[in-house]
Amino acid sequence: MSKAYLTTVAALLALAAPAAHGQEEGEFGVLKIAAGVETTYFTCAGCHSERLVAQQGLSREDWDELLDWMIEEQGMGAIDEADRTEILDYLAEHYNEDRPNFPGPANN
Amino acid sequence: MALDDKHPPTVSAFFAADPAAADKAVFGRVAHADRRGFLRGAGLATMTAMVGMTIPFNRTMPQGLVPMAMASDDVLFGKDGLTLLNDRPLNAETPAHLLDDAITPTERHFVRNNGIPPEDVDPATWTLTVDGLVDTPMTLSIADLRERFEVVSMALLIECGGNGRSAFDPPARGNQWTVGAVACAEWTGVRLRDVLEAAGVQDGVVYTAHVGADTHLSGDPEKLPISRGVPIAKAMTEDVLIAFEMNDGPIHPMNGAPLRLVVPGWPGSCSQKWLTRITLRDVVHDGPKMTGTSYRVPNRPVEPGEDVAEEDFEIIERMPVKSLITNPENGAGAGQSATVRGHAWSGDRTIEAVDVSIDFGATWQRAELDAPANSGAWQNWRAELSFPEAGYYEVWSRATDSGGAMQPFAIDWNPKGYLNNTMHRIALRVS
Repeated sequence: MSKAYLTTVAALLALAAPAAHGQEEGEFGVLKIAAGVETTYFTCAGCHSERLVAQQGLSREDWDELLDWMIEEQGMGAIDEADRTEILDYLAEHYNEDRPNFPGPANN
Repeated sequence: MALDDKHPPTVSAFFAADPAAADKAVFGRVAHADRRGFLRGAGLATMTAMVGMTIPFNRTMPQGLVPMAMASDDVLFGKDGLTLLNDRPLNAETPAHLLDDAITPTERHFVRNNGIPPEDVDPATWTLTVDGLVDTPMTLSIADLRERFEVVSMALLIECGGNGRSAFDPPARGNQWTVGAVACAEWTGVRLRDVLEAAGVQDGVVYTAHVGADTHLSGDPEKLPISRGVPIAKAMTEDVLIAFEMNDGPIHPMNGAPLRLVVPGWPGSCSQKWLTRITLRDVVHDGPKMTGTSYRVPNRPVEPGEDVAEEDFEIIERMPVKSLITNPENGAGAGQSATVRGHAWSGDRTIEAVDVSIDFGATWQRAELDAPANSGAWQNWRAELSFPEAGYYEVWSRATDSGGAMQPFAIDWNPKGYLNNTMHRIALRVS
């Protein structure tokens, strides 16, 4: 993701109306803005709010298992491997068991 | 109203599509022939309650007009002060200090949706089918239920099985509820038992299976978002209701209007919302969120973070003993004395005692405790506290139930983050 793009996102975030509970909502809702956020957002938010993602604190292995469950049991379409890796990298870094972005994203 | 695939349905879209139907669904409102006012007062009480004051010019208020006091696209329309955890599916809890009422007002009852709520919730055309292992399968309207069975009103406690999940470490997946996914509203309806008896429960029935009109998040019409049930013995108890009113008014759309089950003291997911079907089965129901590890806990104490085999999980039945401090608010200031109060409950049991501590659990003081309004209701309690000097205090509350179970200090960790019934703690700044 380009730096110019991130700057645009940051500008949009600054303009966005504050959501309930002081979280700023931008193009990717309440998700932490970082590499992989776009793919993660559009893969997950097709069916459910990104707020459900942002509440979790799971290991990479658990996220991987959760994606399998979404595909096998919850009607999510298959994800190609490159996207899956990008999503898992993003989730494992920002939404792991140490919960760096819970309850809201840090330093967005 | 068409749902687009990115956003939850909004209030304005709902009203734009069909103002008369929306008025009726949301407020129970029917206008006069001139499309103004409230015919025979229908819906006026609801709208008055929602705006919080009388509406002097109500006779000229146009049909389908959403009061500006709430004309936003707020997904928590008709709710007051709830914390939004998730907007699709909608999940919102109530801060503890807003649960102070003895009976929870409709606008403060938490919301836990699993799918997308139905759009058409007209009570006049809604039907409930009772089938499976019954002598006489039946399809009943809400008017039929009112006419054929005794209508009862009861204060009934509903708590989400995952209430308290946010305190789990390692974290457990799911909505990160703190303490406010619990409520005790006044529900009016008919007893599930009476309806099942009228249908004739056949020998060999083991479990109920509940179906609602909400749809799966994926949009797949073949998938149910959730379909749970209870053992037939629980279904035949006298405090399980098929409810069509909440606090003497319509059920809030997000709380299951126009018809839902209320199974007090068991995980809220047993209390199917937007109820359309109850099927009696000769096996434990295996609908979505009955199987795997959903609403299940290990059959033994486990170490935090332990990987537990799926066959070692058991279905949660009654919710455990618990208490909540609803006044003062966490972090409030106080003088040298303070009244502390709240609620306590334990599924299928009563509360025998509530004790409070101001010294981090070293000593305890017995609170004054009320009897439940009826079976299935929470119990209200209060205590007068005095503090020896200014400073930081914590008030802890600890309930003990009729089975001798007492709230623990630490979480009995389980992989899916259910049944956190640890003592409730609030901070008080005494000056």
